[in-house]
Amino acid sequence: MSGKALAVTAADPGNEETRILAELRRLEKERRTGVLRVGDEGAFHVAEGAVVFAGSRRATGLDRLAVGSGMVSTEEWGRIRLGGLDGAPGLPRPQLEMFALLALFDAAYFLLGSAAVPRFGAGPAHWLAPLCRVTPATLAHECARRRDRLDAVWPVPPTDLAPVVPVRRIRRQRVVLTGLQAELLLNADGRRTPAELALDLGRTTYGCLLAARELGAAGLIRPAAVRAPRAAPPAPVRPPAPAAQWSPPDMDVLVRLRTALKECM
Amino acid sequence: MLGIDGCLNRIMEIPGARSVTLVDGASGLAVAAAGHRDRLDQHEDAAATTEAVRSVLACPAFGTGRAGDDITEIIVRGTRGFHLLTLFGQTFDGQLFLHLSVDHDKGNLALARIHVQRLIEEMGVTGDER
Repeated sequence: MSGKALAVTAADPGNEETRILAELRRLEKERRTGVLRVGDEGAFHVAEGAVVFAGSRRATGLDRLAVGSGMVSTEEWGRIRLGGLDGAPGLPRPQLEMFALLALFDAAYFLLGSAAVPRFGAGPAHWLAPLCRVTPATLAHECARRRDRLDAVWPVPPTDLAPVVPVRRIRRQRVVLTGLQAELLLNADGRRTPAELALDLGRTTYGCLLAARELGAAGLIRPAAVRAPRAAPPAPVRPPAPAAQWSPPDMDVLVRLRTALKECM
Repeated sequence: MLGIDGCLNRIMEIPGARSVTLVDGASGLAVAAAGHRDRLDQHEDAAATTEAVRSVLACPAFGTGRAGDDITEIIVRGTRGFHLLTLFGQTFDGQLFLHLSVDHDKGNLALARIHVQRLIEEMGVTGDER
């Protein structure tokens, strides 16, 4: 089973990652302003060489983070988008900054792992440019750390793409969960992947990937059956629920059952 | 209005403050920092303190067992200084917290706690308001 090929992000920092990174470094050196598109997966926004925003279709967007937090409504967020930084009365600046940074690093994690070809187009600076400025070196360092951390928790990449399916039996007396892990478990319906749950909950995609792997390592969700990665982004319309599934048989129980039946006869 | 860096710079004005890091506990990301010698420092700080906060949160002995109980502060005292880990509550994605390192001779724990709480409130991020 080629688990590596199924990883949400390219698990190995290959040529593609360095190509996008090299492009960002070049833009930094030349102090360019504009948008670096990464295939059709998303884009980095740069202003005077610094990365000021990033969006990826694989990562929960800034709008979902802000609205999902319950601090602003969709309408308020729309006003913030139109009015720019001055028109953000509903959201204190430190919080907008924080959401912007969380979204930036979340998207950058997936974009830097992408195999797509980067293309730069000069243009006006992104509206968040006055808020965040991140160097390509910081992005690279943070993405490497995130990758290592995922694998340190539970080196089973297919978990990232498979639906979160809670186990039926917990063979322990007590379980301690973080808030995010609990949110994933409570909202898991056996169909949605960690990324889809993240979008729905308004949480960062990386945070949910990490929480899902922690749940897997703790034996609270079922190890994912290896599936082909999805080509399309999470569809807004959910497919109908599949018929109830049997959990895989426990061989030990079957063997003991057979022995017991033999003794009865 | 002050941005995050402005808020952290004000925290650095607390007597004895050595360094401060704002960390997203869900990912271990150093959202912002002040007072660190170099940039790598803050990322290592964020990753390491995230582990510490997680272990405390996961330890059943640190709970009171009462409904609605939550951990809001972790204080580590050493002979040369102390560390204040202030958790922001559930307002943000993941568990946002602040790590403040203070010098033992120049700083005062009670004062540092009050300053940090006030700054967090000013950031518009009141923790648990119950």
